[in-house]
Amino acid sequence: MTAASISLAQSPPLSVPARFFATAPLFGVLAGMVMIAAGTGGLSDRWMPGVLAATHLLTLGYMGMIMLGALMQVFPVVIGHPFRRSTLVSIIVHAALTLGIVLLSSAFLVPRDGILMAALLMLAAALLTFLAAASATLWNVEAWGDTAGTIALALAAFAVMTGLGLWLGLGHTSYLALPRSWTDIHAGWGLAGWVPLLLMGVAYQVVPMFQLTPNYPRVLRRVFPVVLFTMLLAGTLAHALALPEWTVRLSQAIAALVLAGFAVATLELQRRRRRKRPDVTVAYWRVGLACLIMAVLLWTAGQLLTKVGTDPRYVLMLGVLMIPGFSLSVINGMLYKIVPFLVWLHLTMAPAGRTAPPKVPAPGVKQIIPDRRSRLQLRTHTLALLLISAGVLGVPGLVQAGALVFTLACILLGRDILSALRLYRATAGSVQPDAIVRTGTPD
Amino acid sequence: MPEPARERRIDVSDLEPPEPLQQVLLALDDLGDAEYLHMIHRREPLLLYPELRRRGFSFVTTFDRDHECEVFIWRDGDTVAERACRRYETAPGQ
Repeated sequence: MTAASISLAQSPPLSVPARFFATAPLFGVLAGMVMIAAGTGGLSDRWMPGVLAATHLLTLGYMGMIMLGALMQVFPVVIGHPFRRSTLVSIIVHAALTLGIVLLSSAFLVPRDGILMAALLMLAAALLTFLAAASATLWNVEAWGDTAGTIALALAAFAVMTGLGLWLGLGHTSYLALPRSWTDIHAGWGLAGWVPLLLMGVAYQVVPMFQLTPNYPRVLRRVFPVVLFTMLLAGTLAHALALPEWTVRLSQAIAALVLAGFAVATLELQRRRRRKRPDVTVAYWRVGLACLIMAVLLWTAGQLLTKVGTDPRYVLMLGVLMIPGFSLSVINGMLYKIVPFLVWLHLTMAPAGRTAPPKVPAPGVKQIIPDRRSRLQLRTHTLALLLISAGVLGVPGLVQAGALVFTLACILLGRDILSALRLYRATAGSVQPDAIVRTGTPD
Repeated sequence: MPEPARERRIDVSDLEPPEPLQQVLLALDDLGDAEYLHMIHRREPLLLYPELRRRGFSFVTTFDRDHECEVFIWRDGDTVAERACRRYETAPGQ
């Protein structure tokens, strides 16, 4: 395929990513409610049912939904090939994933072998279907660019994380002993592998494109993802072969350096962007990258100081910094850019064969989700992060207050996504594809 | 002596997506006879190309050493504008 042949015709229908984007905030709301109900006592240790349920509602439900939906959307642009059978795959994956996450979090809260087995079956069906379809698409890639390579590594990390997750899940049933020592490896492949690798792959394209920064340096694009993946693999093998603990620590330390390097490089690129106007997406990225840097510093402190590393608050704080702090901040920022862009694109660039009679012009992109709405969500989300962090560190009552504010932030996100999609639906049948609004040019 | 083609220049290098597309499509609405649009952008506007063809325009694209991109767009059938744009096809640095 030539670059010039990329067009909207190769993009999946808007419904493909939209069903994932619209569902994700619901899992954020559920996670918030679980945290509120669990209370301070129910969230004081990483193995508590409330913590396990909330963690998986956020990682699989909120982050996972958006990441899978976004991948199906970006494949034609960054890989050069449309996602295979995108509508069918999205329906199957979305339905099985939704059911699987609800069942899994229920099984953490009310342990029953039957519920857990059903959850694992649903999750396996969803995640393996996605992996099979994504692999089939990647198989056809002719020119492997930095982004395609990084996304392939992200999917490999996703496969390892999924495999380990299913194994650990079986360990929670009465059929198999729980291989708990593998939990950190599972979490590592997810939070230090799949998530940052996918974000890196996408960032190489969208940060320069949407934030008007210079391109990422070539060495960073080529070397960082490979080193990160290799270190995760090395750490896993060292753990499996019961090699001395320092070998695992060394590989983790190099992976942590890569993550911090990516964060610092991105912040530096954003400092050099062409247009210095305040930008909500850049602010989301800065919050997320600051959390990533703090997570690396905290992890380093945990390795060097036994008192820190053995404190139950240490792992919880790492989770807060990496999940809602880094991952969700960056993901929310990208959603507020990508959803209006997609709606505008689908309304303005008529797909081939469109025959609807032209009546009204498509709205301008800043009218689809106004900046004041994304700014409100960012402030609410950041306040939730601060409150939850203070609560985890020991200020009484603040975890619940933070969970409440986090729930509100998720409701705001859901409202904004749904209003953009509703606007698309209301306009799609009557829009004049060749016309665009002359007033309301984006600022 | 044939009428010379008129250039309308639009620099969208400092705009974020989809503003470049939006600005160019608006400018094309007003393109007159013997006029062509000279678009300057920091990256190649791949999504614009099929839309241009769909709307009855043709284009040539050139790149400079810094990979900044220039697209010259004319209405199909406007031979004066086309001739002016075609000159850039063989321009140094293409």
